[in-house]
Amino acid sequence: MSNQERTQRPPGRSRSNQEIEPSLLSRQTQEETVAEQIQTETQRLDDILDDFLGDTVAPATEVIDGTQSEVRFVRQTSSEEFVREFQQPGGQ
Amino acid sequence: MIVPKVTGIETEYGILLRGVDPSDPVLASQLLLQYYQNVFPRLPIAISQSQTIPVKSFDLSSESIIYDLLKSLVQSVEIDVTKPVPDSFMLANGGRFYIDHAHPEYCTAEAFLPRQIVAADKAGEAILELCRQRVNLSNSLPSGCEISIYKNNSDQKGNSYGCHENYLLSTATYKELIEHQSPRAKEHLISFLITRTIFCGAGKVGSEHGTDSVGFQISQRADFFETLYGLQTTHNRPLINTRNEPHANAEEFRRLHVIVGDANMSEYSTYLKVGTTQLLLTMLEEEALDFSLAIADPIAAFKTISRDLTLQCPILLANGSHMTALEMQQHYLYAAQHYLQQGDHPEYLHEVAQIWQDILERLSHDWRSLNRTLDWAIKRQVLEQYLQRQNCDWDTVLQWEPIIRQTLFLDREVIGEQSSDLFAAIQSRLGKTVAQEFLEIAASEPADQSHPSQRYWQQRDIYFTLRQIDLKYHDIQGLQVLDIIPSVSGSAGLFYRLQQGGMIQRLLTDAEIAPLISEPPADTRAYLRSHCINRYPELIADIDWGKIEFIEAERRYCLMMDDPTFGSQISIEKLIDASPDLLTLLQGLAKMS
Repeated sequence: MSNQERTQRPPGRSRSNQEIEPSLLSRQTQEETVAEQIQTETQRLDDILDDFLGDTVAPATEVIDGTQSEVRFVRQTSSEEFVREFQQPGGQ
Repeated sequence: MIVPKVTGIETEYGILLRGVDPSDPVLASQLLLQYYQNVFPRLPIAISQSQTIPVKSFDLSSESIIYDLLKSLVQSVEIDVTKPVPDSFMLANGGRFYIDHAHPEYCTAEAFLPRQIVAADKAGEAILELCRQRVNLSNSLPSGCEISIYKNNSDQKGNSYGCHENYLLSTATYKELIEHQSPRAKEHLISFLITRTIFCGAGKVGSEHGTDSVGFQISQRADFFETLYGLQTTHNRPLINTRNEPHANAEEFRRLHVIVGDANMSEYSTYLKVGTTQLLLTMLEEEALDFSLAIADPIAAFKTISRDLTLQCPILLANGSHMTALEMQQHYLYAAQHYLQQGDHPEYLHEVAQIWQDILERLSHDWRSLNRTLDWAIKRQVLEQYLQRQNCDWDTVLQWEPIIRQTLFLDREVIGEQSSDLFAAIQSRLGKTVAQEFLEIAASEPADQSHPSQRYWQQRDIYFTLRQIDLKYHDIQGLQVLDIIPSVSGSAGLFYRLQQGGMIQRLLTDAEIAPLISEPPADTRAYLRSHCINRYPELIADIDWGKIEFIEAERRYCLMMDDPTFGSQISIEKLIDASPDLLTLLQGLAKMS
């Protein structure tokens, strides 16, 4: 949650205080688990982003249906070229 | 009168024919459609005669690349170019695949169950992806050309295309809400449709259509709505579309055509979009809502809600009070829960209410808890992680946006990295004021030791990369349904990269989606229509959602399917088994109706 969101949330809306108070130990364990999960997810998302954003050089081959084939198609160009190219007719 | 909420989704897809300049979306859409029969040779189709386009629509006399492509395609699938080219197929799965406003469009078959509607929507994606792969691998395209398809609603340049929902209403309810524009339409229908954005928005970088600047907003479509009611769908778009095309017996049934929604990649977003709307419409028909949430200015509120990433912005109601979109949705949820407790309602509506409650509770705590579940939250998480890696934030993006938009003509390779050259180029083209503005923005980041030109080019990269992430989130390449769609490594769309990486919470299994690629939902007239397409394709002279015309032995027969709930598997299975030919089937159906 951003600071802005924290400050704009009306007081008393959070339900967390009304729930059963966990023991200090289990709360610490929970917090550690959540922190680990966040770190793992952040790393996985980073990897996907790296893969996605690094996909700017045309590969020589690609695997199609389990078979290595020569690339026949245009591959991702720069972000700017792609966004400029993405022009659609208006629709409904 | 309460009618079952038969529902369908129609999606106009964005399409690019890359490697051809200029890209021709009509040709690309036509290629996809032609290849449907190549992909599914054993699935019959029926062609709606009113939807054929003459082949002269293409400039066959010129030596354009379009002609070459069409010619090579025609050779590969043995299509007679002297005949009109159909641009609309009714499919054996009860859906419809056609070209609309130069976009490929897929309509799901009619269905009741929200899970099944989501599955039918995903099956449509699968059909388009299979056709796309087959065209790209067919040698019909010159080397270096490929088609890519995007399930979104905007090209980031002010052009929008729709994802519409259709819901069956009783004629009385439709007339009251839509034709007579009763107070209940404003008190509930409009308020519900624009506040549901908080869970079914697909997320968008930036603003369009002359609306206020924003870094990221929840809805793809909110910028494009300008009026409350109207027939039109391509300009001056209305929150409530008044198009009266029932595709059914108009005395009993009408079709509510909802055009404010986004096209969703997330199964949960689609599920909630149709499930909660079905519930709301059912409650309206049963007059089960005894409060008013009419919004003072719904058009402005739609844009405000879309831009409110805190979900805490108060919306002014017509009665002078204020509520947030989240609070309004909670009101509708409580009303739905109360309504469901009062009578004997189908289990699937209870499931909708449960998931609706869970999503609203999570939204009220922290949107990040839904960053695997709802489209806008998934997309926002990715975009903000990218910004964090760039040591940037939305405020900085917004600060730079005006100057970047004004200077898109600048070519980095021509200008070079010198700040003085960049300043001179801006000043010579846009004047001293804009050039000075550029320097002030560059100087407003004191912690950054880089030169103004370095900052400019870095921010310009960020500007385009954010938009690239947004657009490519919706690229349907990478969709996998069991082993039906061949896996293609490489440039998969971002949503499907995330799904393959286990970063998306799924509602459905592939096994729920796969059958709907070739088979209809079993509980509506789609089942009967599908049977006719499968069994008597050569006898069909014309077809639409509610009508099939057959020609047999030089006689014309018309099957009217005026009731969208009639023709389910359970109701006609015995008749089908006992009908050796078309006439027996038609006679049997006539006796039943």
